[in-house]
Amino acid sequence: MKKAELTGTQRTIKLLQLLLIIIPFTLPLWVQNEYYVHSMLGRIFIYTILVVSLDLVVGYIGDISIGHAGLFAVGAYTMGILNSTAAVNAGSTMQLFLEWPFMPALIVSVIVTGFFGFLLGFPSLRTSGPYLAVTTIAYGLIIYTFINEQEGLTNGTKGIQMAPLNFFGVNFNDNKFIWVVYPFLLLVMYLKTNLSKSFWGRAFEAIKFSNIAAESSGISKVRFKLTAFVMSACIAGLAGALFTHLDSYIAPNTFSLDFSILALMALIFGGVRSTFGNIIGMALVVILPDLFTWFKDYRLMVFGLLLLLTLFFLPNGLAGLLRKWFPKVFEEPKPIFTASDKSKIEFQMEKCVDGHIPLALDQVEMRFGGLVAVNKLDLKVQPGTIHGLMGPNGSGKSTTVNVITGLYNQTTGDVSAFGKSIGKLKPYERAQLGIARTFQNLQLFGDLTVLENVQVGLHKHYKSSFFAILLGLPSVKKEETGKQIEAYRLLEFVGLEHLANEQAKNLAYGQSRRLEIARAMALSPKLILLDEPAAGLTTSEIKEFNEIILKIKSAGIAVLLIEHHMDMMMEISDEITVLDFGKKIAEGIPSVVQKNPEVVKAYLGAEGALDA
Amino acid sequence: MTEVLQLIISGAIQGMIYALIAFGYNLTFSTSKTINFSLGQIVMLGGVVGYILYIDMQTGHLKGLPFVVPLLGVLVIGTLAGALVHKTAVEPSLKFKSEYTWILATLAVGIIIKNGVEQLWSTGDYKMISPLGDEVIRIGGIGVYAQEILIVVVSLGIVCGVEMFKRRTIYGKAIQAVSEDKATASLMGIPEKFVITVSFMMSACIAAIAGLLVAPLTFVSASMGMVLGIKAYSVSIIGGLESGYGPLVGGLILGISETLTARYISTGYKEMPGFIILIVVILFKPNGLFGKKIIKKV
Amino acid sequence: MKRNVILASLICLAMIGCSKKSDDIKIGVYGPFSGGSAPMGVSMRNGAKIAVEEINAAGGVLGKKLALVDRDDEAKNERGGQIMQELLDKENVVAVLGPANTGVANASTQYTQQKKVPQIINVAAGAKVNEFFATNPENYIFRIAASDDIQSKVIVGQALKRGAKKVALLCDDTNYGQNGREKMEAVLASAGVKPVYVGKFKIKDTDMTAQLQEAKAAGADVILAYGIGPELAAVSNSMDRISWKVPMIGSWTLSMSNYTTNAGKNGNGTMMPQTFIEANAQTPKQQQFLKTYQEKFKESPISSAVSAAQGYDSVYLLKLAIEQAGNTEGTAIKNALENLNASYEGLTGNYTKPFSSTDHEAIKEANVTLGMVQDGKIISSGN
Repeated sequence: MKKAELTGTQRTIKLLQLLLIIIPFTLPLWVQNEYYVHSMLGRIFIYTILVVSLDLVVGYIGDISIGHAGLFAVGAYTMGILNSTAAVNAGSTMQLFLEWPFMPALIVSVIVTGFFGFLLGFPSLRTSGPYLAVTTIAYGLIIYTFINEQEGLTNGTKGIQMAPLNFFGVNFNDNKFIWVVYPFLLLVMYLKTNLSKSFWGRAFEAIKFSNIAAESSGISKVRFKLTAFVMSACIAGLAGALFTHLDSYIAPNTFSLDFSILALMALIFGGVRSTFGNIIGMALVVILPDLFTWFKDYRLMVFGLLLLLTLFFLPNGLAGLLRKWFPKVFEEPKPIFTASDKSKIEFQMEKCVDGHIPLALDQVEMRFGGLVAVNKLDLKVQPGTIHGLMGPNGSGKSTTVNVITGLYNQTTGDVSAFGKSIGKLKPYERAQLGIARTFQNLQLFGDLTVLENVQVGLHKHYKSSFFAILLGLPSVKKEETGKQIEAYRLLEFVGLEHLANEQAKNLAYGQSRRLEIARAMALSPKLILLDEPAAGLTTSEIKEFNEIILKIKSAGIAVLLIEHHMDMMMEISDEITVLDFGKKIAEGIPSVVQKNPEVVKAYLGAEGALDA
Repeated sequence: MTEVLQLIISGAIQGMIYALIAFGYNLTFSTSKTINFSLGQIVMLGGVVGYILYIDMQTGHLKGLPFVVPLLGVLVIGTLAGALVHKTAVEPSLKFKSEYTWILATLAVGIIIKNGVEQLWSTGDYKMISPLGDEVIRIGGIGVYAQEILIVVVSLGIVCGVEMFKRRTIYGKAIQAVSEDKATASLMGIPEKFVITVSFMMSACIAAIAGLLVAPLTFVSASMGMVLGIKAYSVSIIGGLESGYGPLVGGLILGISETLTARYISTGYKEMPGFIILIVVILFKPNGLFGKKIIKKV
Repeated sequence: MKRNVILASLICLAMIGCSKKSDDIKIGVYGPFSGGSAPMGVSMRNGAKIAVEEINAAGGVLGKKLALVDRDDEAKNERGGQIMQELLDKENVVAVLGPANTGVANASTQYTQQKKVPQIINVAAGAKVNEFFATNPENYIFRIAASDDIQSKVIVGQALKRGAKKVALLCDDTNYGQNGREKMEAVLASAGVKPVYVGKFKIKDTDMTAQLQEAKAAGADVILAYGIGPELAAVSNSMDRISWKVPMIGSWTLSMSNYTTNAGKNGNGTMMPQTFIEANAQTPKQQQFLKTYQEKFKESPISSAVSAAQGYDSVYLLKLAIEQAGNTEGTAIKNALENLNASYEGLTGNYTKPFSSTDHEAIKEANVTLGMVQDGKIISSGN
């Protein structure tokens, strides 16, 4: 793989960026005015940390949180309780003053808030959209009420006064406060950027687009969602803990619903999934009231209008706008592949050599209420063969696939793969065992590039640890490059290598179908389920497809092909099972099944109706 | 014993108000799959417009107009507000696939309405006089305002009326068809956009009437809608956004839990049980107590 | 094209944002001008505006005009901190008046203190003022408002004078209400009385039945309430609902129109400490003020007359101090405030040496009278 060369302008831009990053460090040295530095910039930095935290949940996982003020409050109050002193809180009802130093208190605040994030994560596993939104609101309000009522612990509504921040005898409550806050902002942004560019970031986006497709690529929704919520909470807790020292005073009324909404607005103003957007969005929200002073008391109305306009005319926020205007500045380097990356030998796959039966269904029944979608089905796929599963619409084909991949849990019976029962495993566990699938209704991750889509499929092959990724260790970069080449070769396999850096949503229909196969192959499966891969394809495309499927077979992978396309089925299948109304009506080699009178009846019945 | 009964009755009445507003949420959710976060502010609009038409602000006395005038005024403002929210916030949002667009857009409209009322009308709190008088009716030691009885009657009437409308009339069936499957409904010749607009108008009218109904009990102010809006939203979710009579049960649960907690645990914690119930319901019945279970199709 | 237009308008906006220099003496005013406690903030600002206009019409101070720089803190603490720094470091005001909310004051007074700019708190009764002397002998925070200390003394004193034995406290759960509760409990304790019931309520609560039933069950014979108008009215209305009638004495906010009109007949007899009673306006100055206020802001009765009067008086005290100091330097003004030579006949009382270097509270117990609600008006209770 070639390293992207920097052009002259790009080098200048890099230099400017570096300068921009360094400038805030110098501010306390030459700016006296505390309004612009301590109050505005300090506030912007702290709140931006909160926005970064919200972005993890909203931008990456795609869940709405209107309760982040609650997490912010947990961080702030943990810091308040641990770090504040009895001296500055004379006469308060607070009973406990631990008077810890700043840093340990900060670390504990982050950990405690992380725990609260863990709890908030659970509802997000069960629900989304308006249901989740109200849960987060309730969560925030519960925290608020608790803080407001536990006077012995938090001094209730009267709030906690903080002692001035002192390090080595120097007071940091003036412009020097930037030196405390800014490094944390940079750290958080660095960690988040590393994470978002790794397979973790792709896993988040995969879950956002389709958690079914993500699970089928071996990604555990539970693990990644909860981790995202915990991380988000840790960052929010950090922001809260720093906030206590901004005005040296915290009281519950700061952490109200309004504040959660404000953070959400800042995120949208700036644009999700953009480090730059996070900071510019919050900067705007903090500075706007100042700029809007001349709107007097109509300020909020103007704010509301501006928000509406942003939502509809700048759906990607200000960062999106800037990206459009100055593409050079914001362009991410794309991997460039050279001839040496191409596979010199014919593509090779992990073979299913252990001799076990790749897939066996034993008396599987699937009921939805009174409806029996699959009725006592027995099915065996032999190693290294293409097994066809066909039947008219509504015969239970897709339900069978969903039972095999674990999206539905069979009502009775059992499913086993590679000699083990998998009937109770989660979808992602089955994927990791080596069962890959494609979808009848395309489930690509639209915002990711074609290459990244395949990289999502490679998920289970990534070995880097979470912390190595956060820190951006060289080994992580090396692994990423290696996996990019692997993904590129998979694209070659389906003939999409020339589109590697295109966004998946821009692909033509036939190309999307191939990408699904490449993504499924990335799992290095021993069994692959193709759910109506030819639906909507032209005859010549189907031909190409057959070749791909035969190539998969020749690599030693068992294939379960679901189709109602008779011709295709007859041409490439080794064995065929026919379903009708959830029941198996025929099974055997294609030429025999074709002549089975029941099959003819089921099919002619359906096709006859179509003809009429 | 009477004390407990009094608390339960007060809670139930409060719950009816939540249920009525929650019903407004359900109506628009079923057609547009969005939640109108400005509904609380529309409740406030109803209260404020009703007050302006009924009471003389300077003296705090009745203007002498019959109660029909504020009632009509509230219906008009409700219809307008519903159309406005739909046109400016929801319809443009539906073009975007993201979930937060409509949340923030409706919130923004709410902010504009609230700030508008504060600036054009007043930031103060005012007392609305009930058309039925402010006397307390006592039944066996339990005090109830006539207005509260009105609230219960009107709420039940509206909820049952709208459910009947949805089930029995052709327009109601159109709403249900759009809620089940937009694409098919529009293929069948149902003007999908129009149905959504109408559902927003109906929802806003219900909210505005709720505002007029609670006004004599709560005071009229620009900030009266916020809390009501959020609690009704919780009620909607507890009962199930896609259920017809679910909000009534949700409302009773929330209302009664509030008064009982306030009396026997602590007034500070009165909202806690409601929110905890909400989270528990979401964890065990993600579609609400009476919601339909949705089967994922792949 | 579109891009240029937007860029150009952004630059314009930025230019407007840059404030122009002027010769006026800038005074910062902050308080809640929107949201639930707006009546206090807006009335206070209106009062201050009237004072500034009068002073400017009469030739200003030190030959310069006064200019108010007003900022809305939305009753949010963190906005308070931000606004204060804006007033001090961007607008470079010579003094600050406000705010109305105790929490906002707590989050912002440290900045005036640091910058050595005098601040006269003119509404927030619970904010720390004299408490700062312990850590800062050079205290820049002053107050012209009946502090919670004074109010609690008057309220509790009145209750005990009336022979109350079983006292119930009912306070809102804001900084203001809870501070008041603590102070009242302290005064009661010094008189050897322990309240039989202590309850609280939230802002915007309208049904107080639960709290009142508990108080009733505890056998309370007087209710001491601390909160703001609407919720206190709800307390009175809920008392009527459970048909229980005991005297209610509470914070000065019981005189706000949102208490008197909202409680209606249920408010009759309620008593509160007062610095300015609108219906009782006797001096020509007070009557003139009311007239100007009503002409200018079309509001009668004033939604928070006490805030308006204190806002007005705070400007005049500041004016006198600046004149005495002869310049607008913070420390000079502060010293002048502490040794004010001229006496000032204000709306809320006559002030001769209102502040000293150890006491920054302008309003003493003697300035406070006891008001009583009678048919929607505040009258002097006669004792």
